[in-house]
Amino acid sequence: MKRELTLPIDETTARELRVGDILYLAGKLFTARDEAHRRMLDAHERGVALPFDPSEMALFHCGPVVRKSNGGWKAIAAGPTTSARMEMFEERFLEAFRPRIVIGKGGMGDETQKALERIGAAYAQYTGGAGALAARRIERVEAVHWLEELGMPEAVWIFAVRDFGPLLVTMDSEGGNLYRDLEPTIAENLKAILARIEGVTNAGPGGTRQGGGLSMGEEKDPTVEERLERAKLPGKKAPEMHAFYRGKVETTLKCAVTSFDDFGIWYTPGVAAPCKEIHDDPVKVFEYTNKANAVAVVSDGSRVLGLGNIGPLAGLPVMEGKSLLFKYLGGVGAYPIVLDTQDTEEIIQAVKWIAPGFGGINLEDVSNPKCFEILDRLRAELDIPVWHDDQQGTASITLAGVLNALKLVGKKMDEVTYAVVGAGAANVALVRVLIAAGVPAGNVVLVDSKGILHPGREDLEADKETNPYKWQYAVETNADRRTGGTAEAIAGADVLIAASKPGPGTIKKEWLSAMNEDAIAFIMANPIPEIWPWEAKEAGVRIVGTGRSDFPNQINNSIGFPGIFRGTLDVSATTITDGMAIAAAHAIAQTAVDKGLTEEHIVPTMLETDVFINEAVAVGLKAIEEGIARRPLSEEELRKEAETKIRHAQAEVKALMDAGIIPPPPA
Amino acid sequence: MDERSIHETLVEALRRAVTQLPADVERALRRARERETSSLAAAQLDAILENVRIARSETVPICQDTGTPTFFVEAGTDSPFLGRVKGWIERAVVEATDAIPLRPNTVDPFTGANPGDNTGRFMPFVHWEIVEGDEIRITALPKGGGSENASALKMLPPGVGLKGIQKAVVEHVVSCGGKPCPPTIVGVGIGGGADIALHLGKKAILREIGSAHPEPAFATFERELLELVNRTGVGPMGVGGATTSLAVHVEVAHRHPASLPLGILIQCWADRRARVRLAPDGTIEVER
Repeated sequence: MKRELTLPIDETTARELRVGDILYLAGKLFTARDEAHRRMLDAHERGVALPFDPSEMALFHCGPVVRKSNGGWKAIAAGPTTSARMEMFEERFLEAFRPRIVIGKGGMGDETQKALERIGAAYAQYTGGAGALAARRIERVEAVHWLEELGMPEAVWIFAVRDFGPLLVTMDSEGGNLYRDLEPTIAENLKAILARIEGVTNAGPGGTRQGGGLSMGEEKDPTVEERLERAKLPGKKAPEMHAFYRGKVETTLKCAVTSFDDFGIWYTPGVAAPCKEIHDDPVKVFEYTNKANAVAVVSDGSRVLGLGNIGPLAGLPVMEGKSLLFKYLGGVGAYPIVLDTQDTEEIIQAVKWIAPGFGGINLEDVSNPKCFEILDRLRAELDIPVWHDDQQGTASITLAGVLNALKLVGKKMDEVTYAVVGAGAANVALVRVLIAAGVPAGNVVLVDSKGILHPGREDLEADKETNPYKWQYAVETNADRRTGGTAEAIAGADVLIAASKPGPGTIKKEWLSAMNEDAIAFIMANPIPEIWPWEAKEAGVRIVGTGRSDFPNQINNSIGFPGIFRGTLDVSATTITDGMAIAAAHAIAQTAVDKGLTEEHIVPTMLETDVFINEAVAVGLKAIEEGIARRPLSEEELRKEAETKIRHAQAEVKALMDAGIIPPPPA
Repeated sequence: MDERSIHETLVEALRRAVTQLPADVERALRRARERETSSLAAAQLDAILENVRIARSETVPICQDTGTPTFFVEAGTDSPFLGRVKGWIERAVVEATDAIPLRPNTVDPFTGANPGDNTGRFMPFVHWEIVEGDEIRITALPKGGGSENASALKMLPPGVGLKGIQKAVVEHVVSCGGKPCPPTIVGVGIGGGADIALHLGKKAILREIGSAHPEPAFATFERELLELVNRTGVGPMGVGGATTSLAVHVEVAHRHPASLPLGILIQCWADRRARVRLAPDGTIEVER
């Protein structure tokens, strides 16, 4: 929004300025670079009055060219200087002198951002180097201070300006920051560029964004053999990589250890004091320990990925991987815990025993149908959120994919038909969530290994005690009462969601050819989808998603749970409802829309950090709305908490890598 | 030989350098504007082009930072003026500082004092290159502090190869963000030693934008690197956009077997330069 402002402005006006506003100023500016900052602060700290009132003016990071003219001065060239140099002073400077607008170029750091928020001021960028243009808008040089001592560039010049602009607000008092907003996109672009330099051709979704008009000469379409070979790559590299680091997560400290004396605070004898306080008032455990941000990733290894019942030891790499994603993408401290039992009651008991140390429980890769009972029981018996990612997590990201894919093909969610192949934990929960989100139950056809679910299925009726959900869907879904197998379920459907047996070849090309026009297919079996995505495309499917990160449109719960847990933990919610999962789905979908929806990019990738932040905010707000949050925060506070924790987690890994403590991977 | 005309021509060269953006740079900026789709970035480029126009028509400095007084002199061994060039340059700088004016940009690192005329210890600075012939060519490169602060030297392990160089350059451009006033010109000096790589990087900036490196392999390397840099999305003034750099120029020296020095010099969009040629008979002309 374009704004013409006359200085001085008050705090309220300054607080209304937003990133993206274009300003034209009238009134007075004072220039101050490094030396003037130092000198003004020095005077302030010694209580010496300044010969001018900085609070009445805008601060201009500028070292102008001025010339003597008619006994006074005339500005010849007066563009902005690099503001980052003043970062070391600016927080104190803003507190001391309270200018409401800071003008410079290149942006400033976190300390300045905080000060802008605290005092109510904005940072605006003037085009760097545009010194002649700026000088034209300077009507008079009103005064100069400290010219003798500091020289022309460093002296404080007081300019009377009119139409001084265009100034682009890039940091505002509400925490808005254009440079920070750009960071994830640029980081993602950088990763794709580095991968391209290395000769990896499938890095990132559709290459970089904002790549501009330069054509790079896109790669030829790879042959099927090359694609198969490429799809095997992660599996080939994984053993060596895992062995190199001997695992992926370990505990690290989050408190400072500055001297020997600290040990007596962090451990005995000092630690006894917080212990006693928690004993008197258990809620204090959230304040004095890491509980609020700790999640146990619990598995019995009874249904790991598409590998089946491989047990707790073999499941451990997955639980470590999950913990890695929790931390890196969501800033959640996660601990892999594998149990040497596959008995429902024992698993429930084990989780209850360890629950006091955690703020949340993530059940992982527990087989169907016992996973339903375990989840339901633990939710009823524990006062911390318990989550089974294969259920709500997968449902959330799938719903997001469906929402955006339908937008692209111009169909309505409640008017299309859905073939859901596989009736494992993921799809059973998915159907529940789809219905809660507005899909008519009758439009869904669910199929398991024995065929389409319908009320005539005696096996399901007989089994309804142990697996009530499947029977319920046999009755509620499939309004047309279709019968038959997977092929019959898919025929004529608009949307296919498959989470069944790993492919290739589980779903046949000709089955997909029988779908409606502009078909959408999510083929999500791991590690290999039910049909290769290029085969699905050849069959005429318009939008294809898989569970893998090396194909476009990864419909993978990794986009969901880190952000969902982030929001849940930040408001200390007691559970995670379907409503929260649906709120997350809408946040995921909207993030992709904001970045530009294409058929190869219907959901964000794991590199797009803002998706997790947006989810955390949406989930936290939903929990508050549903009355299950113990720590209600404002939207702004939620965003800030999520952003800080996620960015810290990523900065931590980077710092460890930069320091060589995490060595570079084997080439 | 008319010493007065030499003096005036040198001052005039500095005036042109700081007030008239070279045509190749302006052309590149216009092309960047044409292909820019982000409205924020387009507004930055519009302001830049408007500023360039005002500076030229009013003969005022394009940017208030008129740079460190730095000169590259190709000195023909048979020129009769070898011993006097340095003094002429100094005088011209002092005169130009007052007449154009230039911003006094030389500060004593110990006392903070600014003599006010762009002179000081080692300043103005002259890079000498002895060449055959009887002419002297002087190039002025009034490069601002914001982009100079974005310079970097990386002593890479030779094993990283050309890919390692490309990665380091792109990563460096990203780390600078909007600070060196993009769209920039990236000078890349490879090989030699630490000082040589940086010197080559700065020399690379002097080349005209759009001119291919005479060595075909280097020309390809430059083109690829420019495309990669512009894929970062940093954009004009760091607000995001299609053009982060107008050109990448490379200069290469043979290296020590154990070293792969990489000098990265960033030149802001205000890529100001002027060249004069001094003949043995004392005739002098501004070449651009």
